[in-house]
Amino acid sequence: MTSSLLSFNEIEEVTNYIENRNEDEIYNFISSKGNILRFLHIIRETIYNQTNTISFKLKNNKFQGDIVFDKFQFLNNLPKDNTFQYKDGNLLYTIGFPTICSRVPADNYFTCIKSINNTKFELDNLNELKIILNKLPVKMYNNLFLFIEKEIVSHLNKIKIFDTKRDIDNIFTFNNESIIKVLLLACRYGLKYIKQLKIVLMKESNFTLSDFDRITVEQSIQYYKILKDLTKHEQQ
Amino acid sequence: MSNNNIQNILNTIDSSNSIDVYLPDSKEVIKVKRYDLSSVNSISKLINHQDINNLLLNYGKFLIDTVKSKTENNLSFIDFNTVIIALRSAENNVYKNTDLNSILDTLKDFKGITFNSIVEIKENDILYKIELNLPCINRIKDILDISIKDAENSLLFYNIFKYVKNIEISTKDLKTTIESVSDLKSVYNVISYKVLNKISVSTSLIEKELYSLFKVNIETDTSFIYSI
Repeated sequence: MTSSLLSFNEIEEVTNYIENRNEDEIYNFISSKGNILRFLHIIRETIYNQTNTISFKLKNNKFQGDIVFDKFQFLNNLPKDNTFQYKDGNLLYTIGFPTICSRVPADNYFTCIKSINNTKFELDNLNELKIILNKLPVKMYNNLFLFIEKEIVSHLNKIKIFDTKRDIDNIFTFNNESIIKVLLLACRYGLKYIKQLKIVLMKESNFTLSDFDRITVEQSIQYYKILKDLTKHEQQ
Repeated sequence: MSNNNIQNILNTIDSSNSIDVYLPDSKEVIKVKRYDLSSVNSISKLINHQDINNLLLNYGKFLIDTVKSKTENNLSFIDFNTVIIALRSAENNVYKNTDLNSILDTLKDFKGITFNSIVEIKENDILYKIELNLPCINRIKDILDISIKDAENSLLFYNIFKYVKNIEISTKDLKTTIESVSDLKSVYNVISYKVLNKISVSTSLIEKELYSLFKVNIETDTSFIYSI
């Protein structure tokens, strides 16, 4: 399976974190997939891996019910992954799309700063970046984050989770709630169902644990359906 | 990534973040480091975790510490307030529709403020002769330190007594002058509200003069250097 999909084992792992409210592990997992655009791309590819259309429950103040969406109506308007240069005084910043790494929203914003004067900042040295930001005069800090707001956040806020072409679109807002909401769409099966499915496939089809690293949940559901059909056929 | 790289960036920030501030009282120009994000974060913690007495006293201490971290001079009260205005102005020169640069320009022509420096109050057989002045930054710090120890009862002491240089207390047989902060606090603890009220009428007039000069209640309006 290509790395642009979430495997069965990964969905099981994250569903476990979600059901046990293990927030730190959820954010560790999201950040392990790269920046926010890469993460959203993986979610979309995973959900639409086996089918062109999926029905989602939609509920807002204008509409409540099931709507079928194709791949191009889901996580629409994803901006192009890009980096930008921003200069203020003697400081040259490289700004890019953030990596969602923390329940603290400010930390996620800080990951937009990829480098300062060619010194790179990654998740493991976020604290050093914070030390630097703390030393910035307030005006420089405000201007830097106005730039981030304009070049990065405003584009993220134009993403449509569900693009209905009507006025009930679900607009993505760059915050932790939206990220988790999208993750939940990919992990919508429930831990009990996933574990049962795994046991059946291991018992009836000799799947090994590592096989679940190479298939998605949707693929395993297809296998299960085929298995059931074959068993039925043999019995007849 | 090495610590050297981080240090280099910090040095770069450090080398280019000073401003020149003209001090209208001492008529000199000093260089001070600009107001940084960590200071805003410190105020944020103050504002979120204090009752009003603690907040205002600790906010006052924050202002003193901020200015003292940028200059070792024992600034006069006017110069101290000017530094605060200049720090705020360098980051955002508009506050509640007030142009802070124009205030700093006006301060270049500062000629002093006038107020009655002697207040005499007679109560029963006691005569209080109170000398008022504008305190220097070290004196404010001392008054704040003693006030913060007993914040619940000391905000009034701080607000009034920071302008008290000394009190001469006379009775038929005795005359004594009290000047140290701790002695003034002891006097504050025992004088009547009537006397206190009369002193505060005079100190309020000083505050009015200061407001007409700076256009901002620097010591009580916590949003001044928080909402930038």
